[in-house]
Amino acid sequence: MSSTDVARSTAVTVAVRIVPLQTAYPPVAGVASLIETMFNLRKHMESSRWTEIYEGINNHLQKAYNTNKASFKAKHWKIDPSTGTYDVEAIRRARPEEITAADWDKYIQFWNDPRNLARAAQNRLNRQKSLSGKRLVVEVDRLSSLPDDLIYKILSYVDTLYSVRLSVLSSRWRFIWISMPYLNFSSDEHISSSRYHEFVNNVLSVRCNNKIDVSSVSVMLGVNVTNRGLLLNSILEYAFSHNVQQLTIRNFRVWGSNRDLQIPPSLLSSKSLKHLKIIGTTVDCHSYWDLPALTTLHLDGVILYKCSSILTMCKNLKNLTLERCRVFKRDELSDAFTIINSQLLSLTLKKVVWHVDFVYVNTPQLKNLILVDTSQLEAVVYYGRSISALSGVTILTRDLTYLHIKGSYFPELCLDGFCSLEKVDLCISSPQKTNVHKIRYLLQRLHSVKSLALSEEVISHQPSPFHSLKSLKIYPLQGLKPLELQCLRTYPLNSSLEMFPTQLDEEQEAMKIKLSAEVTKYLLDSSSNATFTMVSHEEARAIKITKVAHRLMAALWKILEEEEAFNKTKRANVE
Amino acid sequence: MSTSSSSSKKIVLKSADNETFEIDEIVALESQAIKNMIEDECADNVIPLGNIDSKTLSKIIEYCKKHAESPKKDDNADIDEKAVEDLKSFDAEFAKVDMPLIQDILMAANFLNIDNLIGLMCRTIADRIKGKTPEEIRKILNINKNDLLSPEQEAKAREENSWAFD
Repeated sequence: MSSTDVARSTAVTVAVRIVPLQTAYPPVAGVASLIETMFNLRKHMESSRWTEIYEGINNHLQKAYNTNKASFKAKHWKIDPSTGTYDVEAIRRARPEEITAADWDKYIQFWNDPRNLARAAQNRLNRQKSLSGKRLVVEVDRLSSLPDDLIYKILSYVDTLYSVRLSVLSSRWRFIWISMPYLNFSSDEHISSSRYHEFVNNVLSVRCNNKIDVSSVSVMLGVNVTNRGLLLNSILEYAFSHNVQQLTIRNFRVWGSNRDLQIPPSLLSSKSLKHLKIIGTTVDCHSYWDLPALTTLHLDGVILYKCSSILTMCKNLKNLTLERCRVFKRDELSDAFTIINSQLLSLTLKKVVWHVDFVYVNTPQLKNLILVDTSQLEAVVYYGRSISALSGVTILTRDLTYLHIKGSYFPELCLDGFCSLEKVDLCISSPQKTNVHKIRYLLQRLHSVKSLALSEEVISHQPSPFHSLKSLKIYPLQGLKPLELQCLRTYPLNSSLEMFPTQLDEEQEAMKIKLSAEVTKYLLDSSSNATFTMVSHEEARAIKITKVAHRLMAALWKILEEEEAFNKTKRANVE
Repeated sequence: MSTSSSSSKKIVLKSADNETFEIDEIVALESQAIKNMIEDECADNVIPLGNIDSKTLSKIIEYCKKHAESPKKDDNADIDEKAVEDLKSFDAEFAKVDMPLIQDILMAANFLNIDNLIGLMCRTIADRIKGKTPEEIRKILNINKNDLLSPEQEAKAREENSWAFD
């Protein structure tokens, strides 16, 4: 039933049709009172003023209809952000039962008309004006009414270059970038190294005049940046003199050039810095870092020379992560890399290549320990020097609650008692003979463990030492090779997707975990309440493939966006 | 976990347009502001939210429900990778709404103090203005016409920061 029909029809039918109108739409104040009087229409029809009354009813219905249209619209009509127009298909699907498809299409047509859209926007504006005393929320340009903090937060996700460009947006945005507490300097946003230098120096010199603190600074130096040391120097000087708390330095190495970006320790001196992340540089420490407030240190792809002392000097360090680092000897006399820190709570050593004889960790407060793919280097020759193989990793700690070890290497763990270990994940692939007794030693001390995950090769036949186990998961060995994202740029897409060949059925059968009843009994005998999960190969594969697919999609999107932006600028240039 | 048992405590939120939403307390606790109210025992049966309309509020509740169900990321263990991925794709879907609603959600999330949601909305806005010209951004953000710089002022701003414009 259409309301337009209602408005056009004669007075008698109006009275009849009013009722469904009321149930179909949210009642509008005013209409209800009108209906009361309308039921006695016949009396009015005989009156001399009938034409007037009839017109009044029509007007009123038209008004009610329009109001309802708006409420319908607010409920069902969504603008597709990608096109800026209504998503007609979605609206068509959202048609309420009481409205016919033909009428619904009329609505769609009505609201897709740009003139109606403009009129509605004007109405909204007028309504807002009349309500402005009552509601604080101003519908138009809500963003500019946001507190500075939120605007800063939005801009923390874009490069500082764009924050500066926003200065022409409106008076609200004119000087936002000067007080922004987050700075992102990425060389990728600039066409040349000299433009990048110019930009950074300009930002710093304008901002130097104000005393406003900066909370985080992030620098990304791409392959074509020259004079990195100089640039980094001025950024760090500014950051530290403005009490920076979080600092990220990402340096893309130029392979083939023999001088890596070095961060002189004397440069890193700040009373305020709490979080430091360095990616892809060399740190050579002949003197100390002066970072008394530092709590989190993350070094990724960093070449470390003689850095034991740094880690000892950062007295308040709580979290330390070394990822894909190459660690070299402290000095010629000592063969060990040491991490001695009384405050450290969390230590992650991931794919670190050790060019030292042994690693010694002494962290009495440590709660979380994560070791992934510790490589056991054979004796190698590196830059003309012979480097002996890593003979051992020794870890001394008292209060460990979480232990995760993945890879083929198992360290020498000296844990007092093991009383507090609650969660243990061991994914030891092909445990070597030397490891077996260490693992056994560990397993027998897991008295209070609540969650335990083991790879199938770890399990050995022994009386069950677990008394309070709540969950047990057994993982299969991973058969998938990690997929490098770079593949995407060099290979056509279909070859990337073929990285996961489906396995033959018999192969899958062979890979199924056969867990004997004895093993199950060993693990679960003492904890009758534990849940037992076997993670199948298919599940493990599915998880991994999903993850890779997510990464692939993200990379694809990025490429697409870049392509789009490139095409746009090209088109703009042509025009 | 998602099944709300009848025994769990309920909180009722009332939007600006007087619509009420009954939710589990655990979901409401995603909002630091409501959490504080409950802890200070100054939350009655119904919490009126006079500056949030029902459309925005239902969207926010959808977000809080999902995040309350998901395992929390505590610093002492790695959490289920599947759950993390799941939450990520939920967030990505959630943010696919038009700009006015995003701005409403951001303001409401700021008022209710829901940290993750503030971050998600800010990131979404940032993603949409990234690489755009000022003119495009004015349109996207619906910048107030009365607030625009005069041509002279704009020229001056460009001149001052010419090193940031190509």
